[in-house]
Amino acid sequence: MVFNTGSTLLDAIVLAVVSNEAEGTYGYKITQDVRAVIDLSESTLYPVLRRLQKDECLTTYDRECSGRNRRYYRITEKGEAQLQLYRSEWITYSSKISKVLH
Amino acid sequence: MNKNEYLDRLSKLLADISYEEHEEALSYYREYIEDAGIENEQRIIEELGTPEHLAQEIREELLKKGEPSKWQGEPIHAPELRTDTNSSQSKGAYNYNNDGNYQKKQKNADSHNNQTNKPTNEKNKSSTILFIIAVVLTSPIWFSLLCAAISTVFGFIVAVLAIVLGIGIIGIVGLITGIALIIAGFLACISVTVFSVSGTLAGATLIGFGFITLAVGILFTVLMVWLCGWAIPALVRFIRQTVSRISCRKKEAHL
Repeated sequence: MVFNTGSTLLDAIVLAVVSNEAEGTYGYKITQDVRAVIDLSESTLYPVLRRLQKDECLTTYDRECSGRNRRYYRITEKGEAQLQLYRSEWITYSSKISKVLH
Repeated sequence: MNKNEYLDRLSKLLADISYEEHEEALSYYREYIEDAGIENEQRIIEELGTPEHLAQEIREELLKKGEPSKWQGEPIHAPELRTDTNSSQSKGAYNYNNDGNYQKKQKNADSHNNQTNKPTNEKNKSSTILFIIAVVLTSPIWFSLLCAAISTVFGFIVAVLAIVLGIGIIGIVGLITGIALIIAGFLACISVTVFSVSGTLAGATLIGFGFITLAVGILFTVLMVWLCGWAIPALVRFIRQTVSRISCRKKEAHL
């Protein structure tokens, strides 16, 4: 990928990935899902998830899984609203870019 | 480096961040490596990068949006980590933040000083201008007052000198007249004794008046000498002191 992904777009992708899982999802899976669409180092997502959690766009809960604890991330109402904003912005933005770069 | 070694190293490198942040980060990466599975452990650890690099990434994110109050304390660095170039990098990032804060504070202090200095300077300037305007506008008043004061002093000096001169003239005239009357009296007595008795009486009267006039003349001459020798210098001293006192006060007021 030659295009850089800015932090806002990364936030949007992470929120979208998390919102796709109704039950919530965990760090490793989120990273793999995001890595499926953009280039991303394994280490990048923790700070993003932590920030989104502090901004109350994501909420966490712990669940026992095969004898150990696993932290799950779920999107909040605020996160949904933010994601909706990103979606409409993305449609405008991407269609403009597409018009020029078709 | 296995999972535990990697996480231990990370834990030491993040020793200076808050307990909550430290635990969050450590448990996230522990879970992350475990979720990747034992078969992928080594690959994931390599892909995560060095613990130093990871610690720096976590710090940078905390600095952006994190809890600034928890970053004010002294950084706790394990001594053995200081020789490591990467750890010194992360330390540098922390110091940079501290310096940044310090510079910001300095800047604020400077701008505050400038703000407090400027108005006083402007105040001084404007008050000086106002003073000049006031002096020019009130010149008819203070100029006439100054003229009156100067002429009063001049008149006083002239009056004193005139009195002294008058006394002197009376004294000298008295002396001369007295001597002349006495001489005239003697001459009258000498000439009168030849002709008549009444002439002798007139001569004696003349001598008597001559002595009275001489006494008055001596009195006034002595008075003039006293005035010239003591009273006038005293007056001059008094005027000089008064003038210097006024000018000193003016200087003090100006300062």
